[in-house]
Amino acid sequence: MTEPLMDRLLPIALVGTERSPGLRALLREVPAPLTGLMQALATAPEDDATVLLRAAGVLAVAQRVGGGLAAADALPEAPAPARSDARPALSAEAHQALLQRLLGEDVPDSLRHEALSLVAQRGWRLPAALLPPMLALALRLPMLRSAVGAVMGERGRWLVQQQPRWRSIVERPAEPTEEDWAHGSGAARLAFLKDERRRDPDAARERLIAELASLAARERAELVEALAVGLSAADEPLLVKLLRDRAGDVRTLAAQLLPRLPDSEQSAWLAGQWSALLRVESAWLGLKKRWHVEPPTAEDPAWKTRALDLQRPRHDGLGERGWWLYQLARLTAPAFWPAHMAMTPTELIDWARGTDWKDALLRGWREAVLAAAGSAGVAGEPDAQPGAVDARWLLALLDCREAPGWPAHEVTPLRSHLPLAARTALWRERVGSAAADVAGEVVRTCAQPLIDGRPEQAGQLDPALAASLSAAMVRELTDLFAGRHADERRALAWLDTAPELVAWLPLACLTAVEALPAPAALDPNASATTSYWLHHRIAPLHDRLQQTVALRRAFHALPVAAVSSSTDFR
Amino acid sequence: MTTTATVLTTEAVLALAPDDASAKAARGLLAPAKWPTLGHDAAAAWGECQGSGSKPYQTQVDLSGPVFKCSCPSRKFPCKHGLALLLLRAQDTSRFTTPAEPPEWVRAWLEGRRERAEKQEQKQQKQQEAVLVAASAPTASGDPAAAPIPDTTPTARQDKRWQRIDAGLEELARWLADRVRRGLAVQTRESAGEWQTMAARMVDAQAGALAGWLNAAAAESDSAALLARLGRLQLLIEAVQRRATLDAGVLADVRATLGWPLDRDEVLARGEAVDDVWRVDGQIVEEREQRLVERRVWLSGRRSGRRALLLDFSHGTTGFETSWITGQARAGRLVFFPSAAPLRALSVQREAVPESGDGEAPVLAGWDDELDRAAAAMAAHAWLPLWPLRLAGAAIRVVEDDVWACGDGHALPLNVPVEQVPTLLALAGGGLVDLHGEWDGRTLLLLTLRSEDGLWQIGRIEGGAR
Repeated sequence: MTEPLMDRLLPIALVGTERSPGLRALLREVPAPLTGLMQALATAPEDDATVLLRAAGVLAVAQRVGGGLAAADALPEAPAPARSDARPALSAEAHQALLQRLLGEDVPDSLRHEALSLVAQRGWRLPAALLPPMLALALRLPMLRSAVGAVMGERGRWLVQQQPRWRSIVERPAEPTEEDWAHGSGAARLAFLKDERRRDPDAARERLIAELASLAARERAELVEALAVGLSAADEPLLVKLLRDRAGDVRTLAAQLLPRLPDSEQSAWLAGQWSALLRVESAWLGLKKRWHVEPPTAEDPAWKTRALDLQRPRHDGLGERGWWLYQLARLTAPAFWPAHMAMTPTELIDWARGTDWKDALLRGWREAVLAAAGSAGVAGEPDAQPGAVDARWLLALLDCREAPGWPAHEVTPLRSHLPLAARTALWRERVGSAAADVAGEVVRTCAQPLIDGRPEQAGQLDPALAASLSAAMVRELTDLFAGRHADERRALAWLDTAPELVAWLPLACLTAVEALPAPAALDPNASATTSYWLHHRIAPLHDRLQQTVALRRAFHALPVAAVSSSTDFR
Repeated sequence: MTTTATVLTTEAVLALAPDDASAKAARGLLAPAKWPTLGHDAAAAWGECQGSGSKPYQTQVDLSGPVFKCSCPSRKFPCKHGLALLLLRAQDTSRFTTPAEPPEWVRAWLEGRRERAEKQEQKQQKQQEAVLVAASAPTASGDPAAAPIPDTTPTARQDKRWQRIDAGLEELARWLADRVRRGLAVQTRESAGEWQTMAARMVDAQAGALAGWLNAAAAESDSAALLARLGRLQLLIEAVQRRATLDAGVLADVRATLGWPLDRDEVLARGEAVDDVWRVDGQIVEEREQRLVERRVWLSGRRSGRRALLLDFSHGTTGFETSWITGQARAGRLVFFPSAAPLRALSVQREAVPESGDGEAPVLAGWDDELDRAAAAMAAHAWLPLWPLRLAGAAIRVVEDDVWACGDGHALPLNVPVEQVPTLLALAGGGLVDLHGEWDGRTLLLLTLRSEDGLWQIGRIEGGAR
């Protein structure tokens, strides 16, 4: 064999032939098939170094000729191949070009979502070559995950299994089966469990209890979410146990579900806490009441078992006592406050403003309201469950004068839980005076359900509001492109918002957008009020809008995929 | 002709782009408003592109190449307008009109090309006739039917070059022996500099390719690989010493390895001409040092089964005048460089129309046959850099950081850019695919992958020494 011989030549070459006498002897003892050749080398007249190099050369060529291969069964067992796709791939040249354009930088995310949803609706899946860039996009942009999941097909599901970093792209099966519970991803199992909770909540709870011991912390947190569906008093023992779970996320989830059970022991305990902290003064023979609140003065050891988070971040705006107050508030059902203090949410917020603890209370209320809305919905809506939050809480929080100071990602979820009619009413008033701001809120609110994992509620926009908002946008942009603008901040706000809005508007509104006149070339010496630099930034907006409209129309024009009678359709 | 010329796919067009910037720029030119005129017929496609100036650019493509021409000032082949024109055609042929006669500026260019091609063919005919005439003169053995003996009388310049090479290699041999005598592991302060000096010496000695060998050896961290490389260098030195006794093919390989291949006229005169239908199995454009760009196009002959390599060079982002489309087959003539394992060839004639059914998978031999062929070539030519492998029914396996091609019981290590692995897996889906790549004795650099779901090509890479 050549390899062992090369291995034995190598040390001689490294150390040097002048220090190694054994070269010739080595060459004389080479087994077949190189015996003759090497023996001839052994007796060559040149010096040892030259002979060694020559032998190495022969062996090197032999290695090239015979080497490089391994046996296929030396590799570990191959994973199963992808299953056949029932849906055909959208692989026609023109359609692939359209899909490629979705990957461009200038495309609004909302358009990407709509386009991929249309592809799914029309019965297509992504061509295989486009799966990696689309999956990378979904990894980067959580709001696209449901749309990409709907068009990735069996090939996409298989690919995600092969590349661990993509597994966090959740993809929920539309109709989960036992198979999904047995072998599916975390998201698939959650979908199955939620489904079962709808049909038979007790059986689902038992199933979860049986699995709990064998799940890792992250998986427990994933599946406990399912208990939000079909919650009842029968779930209380499990939730109390989860209050003491090792994982912080699990404890928080349990603590957010328990307030929905007003008769639970946790709710009773919280009521007890508040009765110690809230004090009412009666005056005028009970007609006028003044409430006072005093946060706890010392840490209570019982809090740990009740899932309060006692690790206040060092630079948090709240002080230590404020933090405790906030923690207690965030775990309390929103319904508690109007019942206990006989005030509407708006009055409660006004009251909190008069105390020293406004920030802690507002923050706690906001989180409790969001948790209740996300878990049980809004009272009076068709999908509301026990523990649903009163819509007036949402309105009061959105309306309060502190709200503009809150970051968008904390305000948008509140707005997205409002029933459509209430949302529309809030916006309708402001379209005339603050169209750009309303447009920004609309865009974020339409997309929020995608981030929350409720894709079926994305993009809900009242048609009349859409029409008036679109008209306002067209008016303001026409002025802008003509070189007139009222307010620099608003002009800049349209830059990002307008293309995103165009993707959410009903198709009927698009004609007006297409008719927008192109920006006039601006003479730097002209007396127009728009500054030159602002115009420079606004000018490309026109192109971007036209491209967005064109792409929307192109995707709406996609044909419906032919349904193949054969099931094998790779 | 009323047959419609093949419409290239978007992928194929983008593969012709000389660099990423051109591809991106071409994509930006796809708006219909920019092309007031678009037309095509069986021979050519053309259009007028409205730029920022007053007069639109006139762009046209001879579809038999494809060969591009544009009135824009860019010096790239093809320019962004040519690429955009073909991209538009790939996406929607309905935008192209087919008038009875193409515009004058298209007709004139195509006419000019046809005339030049005819003149070229006549010139080659004359050259070949001259060779045959010389060969039919009575040979030393008096047998007029003996194969024409190529003119190998060395010129004075060749003699001078051999002298320089001999002197340089004599120094190299002494230096190598010295290193091995003292021990390769012994590093002195001068060691690194000595490799560079010796590499420069090879350039002086007109054996410039050996500078690359020495630089690669100096960079080698694996000592077994280093010894293997030096061993083959030793074989080359000794072959040069014995060149008078070598076969013509082996001598040609020695010269090629030294960096002194035969020039075009010598190859045309002495090389083996093969007429066949040649299919493009794969191609790669590699950026080398100092903005030198090398393109390798791999062909296989349908009837002869021969493999061929076309090697072209350009500079910077200029691109290449002649385009080859992977998967296309065309009848034509190749002339092979003399070699003990003939591979590199010149394309001297190529049909205007590709064979129908291009893109179909050809009938491929089994893995053992294919690997045996590669082995035979590497045994015949000790310094053969690359040999093409076409492998059917391969399974792509990713095991930790390594990628393998498995089939017929074998597992071949694949060299694949890491960011392309997901795309390859997506196209394969765990099923079987057809591969084409360059084998260097250790790994297969993947150039083409074909599955039921599409075709993948490596395109353009920034290369290094192999």
